[in-house]
Amino acid sequence: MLMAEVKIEVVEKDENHVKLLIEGVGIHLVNAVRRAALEYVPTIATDFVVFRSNTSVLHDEFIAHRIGLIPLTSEEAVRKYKPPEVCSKEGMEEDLSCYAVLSLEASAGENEIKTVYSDELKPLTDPTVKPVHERIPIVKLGPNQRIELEAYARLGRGKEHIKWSPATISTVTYVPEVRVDWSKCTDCGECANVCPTGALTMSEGKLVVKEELCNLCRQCVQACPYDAVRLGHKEEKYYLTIESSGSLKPETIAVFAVKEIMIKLEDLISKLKSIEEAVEVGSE
Amino acid sequence: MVLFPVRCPTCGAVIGDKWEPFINRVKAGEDPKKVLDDLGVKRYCCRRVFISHVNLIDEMVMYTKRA
Repeated sequence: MLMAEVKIEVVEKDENHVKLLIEGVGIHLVNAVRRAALEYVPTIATDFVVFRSNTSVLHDEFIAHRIGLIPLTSEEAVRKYKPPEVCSKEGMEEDLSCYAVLSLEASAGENEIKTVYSDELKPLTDPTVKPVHERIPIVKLGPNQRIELEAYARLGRGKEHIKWSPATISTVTYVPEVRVDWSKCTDCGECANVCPTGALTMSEGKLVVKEELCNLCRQCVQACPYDAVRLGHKEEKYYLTIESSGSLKPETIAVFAVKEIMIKLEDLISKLKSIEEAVEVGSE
Repeated sequence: MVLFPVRCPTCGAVIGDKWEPFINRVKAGEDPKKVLDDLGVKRYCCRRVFISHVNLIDEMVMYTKRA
């Protein structure tokens, strides 16, 4: 059987979200890309925090957790730093090819209440690793309160902790197909009355179908008194939507997701080959 | 919550930086629905965090340890 040609079309795209129409690839593969985007694509995020001083009203763990969730720019870091499997071992903290260090130092005056924002988290070792968003409040300091800390960031994957996941939303959806049996349809408008998305509308007494608006809710199928509406989905055609946390561009996430799958497949192939060879040797 | 969360607890979208613009505009009399749409907060998991949040740290921030 000939493999169908793979086609990709960008349906929607902005700074942190992309919607792709993928044709000619089975849903199992598109879904693997979706899952890899959430779990396997590495990004850099704060692994642990060393507190030098904290007299704020929040305890250290609370602040460390907030700092962990702040996305850091990973576009260069994922190509530069050693992988999580190497760096998550103990004793790698001083290795600058594993960890990027950021520092935060802030204090409030005598009669001051001050909010400390993420832009005060300054890179110490690597200027390319810094918070993506500048105005995320980390802590609020009261009069004479002070905070001083160092955050150690390394590459990690979403399966270890969600803070390392580059994608906040990653979905695969079917491309809807609305089939109207025109020999049964009487243009009564019952389906258009219940359609919430405007995929089925009436225009000058005639039913108009706009398939791309359908969300497959099936209300039209139930409403039609003549059993003329059928819903399905297109073969081998899927929407892949990826929304980024900001650490990586959404299109980078998609490319890295496929790369991560390929690394796993190559590993699998080499393991299978060694089994095959072992069987051949055994049968001689 | 004590401080406005960095991420949406449900979907993980970054919402921490949007709280201050939101609350300032709502206090100035704008419709919360319109402000959230403007800020690009689309899903209802993220929107409920905004409309239900009370910044409890304001109640305790004055309790400074004596030097």
